[in-house]
Amino acid sequence: MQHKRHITGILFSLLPVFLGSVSQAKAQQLSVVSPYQGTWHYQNGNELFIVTLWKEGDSLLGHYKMVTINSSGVIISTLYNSRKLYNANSQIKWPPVINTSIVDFSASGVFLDNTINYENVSSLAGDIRLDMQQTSPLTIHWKIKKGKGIRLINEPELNIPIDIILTKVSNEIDLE
Amino acid sequence: MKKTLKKLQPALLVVLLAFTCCQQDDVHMNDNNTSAKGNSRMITYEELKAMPKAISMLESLKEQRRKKSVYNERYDFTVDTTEIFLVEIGDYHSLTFTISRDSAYTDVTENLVLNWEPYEDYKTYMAEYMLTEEEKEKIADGEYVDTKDKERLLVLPEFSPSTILKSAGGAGEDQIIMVDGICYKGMWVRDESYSGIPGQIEKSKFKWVYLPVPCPEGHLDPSYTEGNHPGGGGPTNMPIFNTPYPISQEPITNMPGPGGYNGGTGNSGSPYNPIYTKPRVEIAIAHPRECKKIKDALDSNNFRQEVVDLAGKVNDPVNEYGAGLDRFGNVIPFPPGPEIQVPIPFGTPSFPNGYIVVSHTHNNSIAGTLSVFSIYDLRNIAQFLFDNHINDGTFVATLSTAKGTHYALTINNVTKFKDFFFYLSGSTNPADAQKILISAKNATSISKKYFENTTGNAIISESDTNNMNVLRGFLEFLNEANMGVSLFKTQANFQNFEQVSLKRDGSIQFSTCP
Repeated sequence: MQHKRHITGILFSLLPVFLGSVSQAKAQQLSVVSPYQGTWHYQNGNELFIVTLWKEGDSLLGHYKMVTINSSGVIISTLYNSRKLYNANSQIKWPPVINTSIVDFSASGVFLDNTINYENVSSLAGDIRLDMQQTSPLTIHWKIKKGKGIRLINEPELNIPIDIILTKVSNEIDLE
Repeated sequence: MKKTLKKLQPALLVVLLAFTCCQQDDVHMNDNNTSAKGNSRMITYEELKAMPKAISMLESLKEQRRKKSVYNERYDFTVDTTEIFLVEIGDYHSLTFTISRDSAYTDVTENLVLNWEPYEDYKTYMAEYMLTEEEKEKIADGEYVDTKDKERLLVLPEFSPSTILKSAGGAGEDQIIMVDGICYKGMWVRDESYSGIPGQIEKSKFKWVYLPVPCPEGHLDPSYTEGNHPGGGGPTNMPIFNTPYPISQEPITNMPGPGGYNGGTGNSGSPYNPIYTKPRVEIAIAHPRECKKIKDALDSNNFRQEVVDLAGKVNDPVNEYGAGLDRFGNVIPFPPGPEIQVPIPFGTPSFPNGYIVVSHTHNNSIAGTLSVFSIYDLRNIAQFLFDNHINDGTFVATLSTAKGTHYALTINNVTKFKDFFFYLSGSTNPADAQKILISAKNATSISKKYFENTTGNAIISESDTNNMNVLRGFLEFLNEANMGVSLFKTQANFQNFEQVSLKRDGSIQFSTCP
């Protein structure tokens, strides 16, 4: 009995330690939201380039689209959307066309430009880098480069913006 | 490997283990006289596992090798533990392993020899043989080759301070030892402690570690120290464990002797025990079907000359060059440019056409030269394949680069290759939906891991000047991608090819095409 009381005493004495660990873990979870995650805009005249990024495991994935807007900022039409049907007869949409990893304040990886249409080539590919720039408003430097390799003759150049500054407009992810 | 073993077996039965008639009393590297006293045979790794001390020694070497592979390529070697040559004579035995290196050491055929020292442990030696290619083939075929004046045996000292420190663990607590000029002292340090928990009785775990300490005064005086490890005489004040590598170039007769066991008490010039070994070579066999693809393709319409000509243009600072060979034997030069643009080969539904060979260069660009195929080279080859622009059963891609590398690549498994790049297929079959998703995610993730270079830290990078490093990274990529591709290394004349692949331990295996 004496022995049992001793164990109970130890357990109670350990309780604050365990509780401390739990509250610490919760706090960490709450603070782990990536600043990259959300919706980003780049506007050029009446064209708006919208990038959506989200974390999945260790990767930062994404899609993009180009829309036209009126003077009030209302979307008039969609010029292209990387999250389109894989092809006209397809039941599925394209998987994420941005696949990066975050190191410190930079996300780098690969991208697909699936907005081109040439022969049977359904996409171009290359390297992408997203450098965090300023925090108010939050901006990132979007820079992409077509991958170097042999290619089909007269293959088109990239159709999507190559070197722009994106501004974060929302923490929400809207893929539609 | 089994073929090699079968080839070697006759030779092994005639192995030369004599106690007499040697150029040196204690070292028998390739005697041609069979000893009735000895027994020698090949054993497998399973049998080796019954020798825990040998395994322990190999584990120690493997650990060192991993470290070297990461931190110092100069030390990189591979010990093949799949087939081991065992010599048993009484209570003595030795184990001989083939060794391969990725880098320039390999003019010499090297074997690792573990020599059992009764009542002590294994001692490790490196057996070296200067052999011609013809001699290597003879040995592989089981024929005797006179290696007199072409052989030497070197003591292979333990060459990792951590291992030496581990082996020196029995030293007294106050003992200071020196490893590679740094003094260490063993001490107990607290490994884990629970004392921070209220009510908990103080309870800690300690571990024995060697920590660097200032060297004692006078430590450079030879009379103060006991000499190099192993062996050495003189007063025992501070053991010195130097770890020279490359290993001493002195033959064993000139190495410091072990002292004691063989009757010597100092630098006796003899090893601990007689050492019996024989040269072992490993000649890997390349994939004959893929080798034949390359030979047939380059022989066709003298396309080899086109490829050789391309190899002479790699130093252009601006343009890459390329050429293709279609299934009708037409040679199609590609327009030079910063990136090669491949014309669609002319064909009709009745006479479908596709490239048998697509060849190009990686030029001496100011942005750097990738010494292997780029992921985009492979991706676009896959695109050509999906679009029927290449002839899948016979296709060969060749590459010459400004970094002096020359490669040929074949698709040994078209299904795997297409599966990896399936998101390029344009398939309209609803049943392929999941396959497309998986392919896109897998391909982009692996591309990112190995090739993405916006940070300049890619595993496969233009800025890496070590072609072997880049090749190793590329082979790791091919392994992980499992895309059914074979890679062959060649020279600027594109005459002889070696298939390059990764061994299980991460080193590069070169297998000559027949």
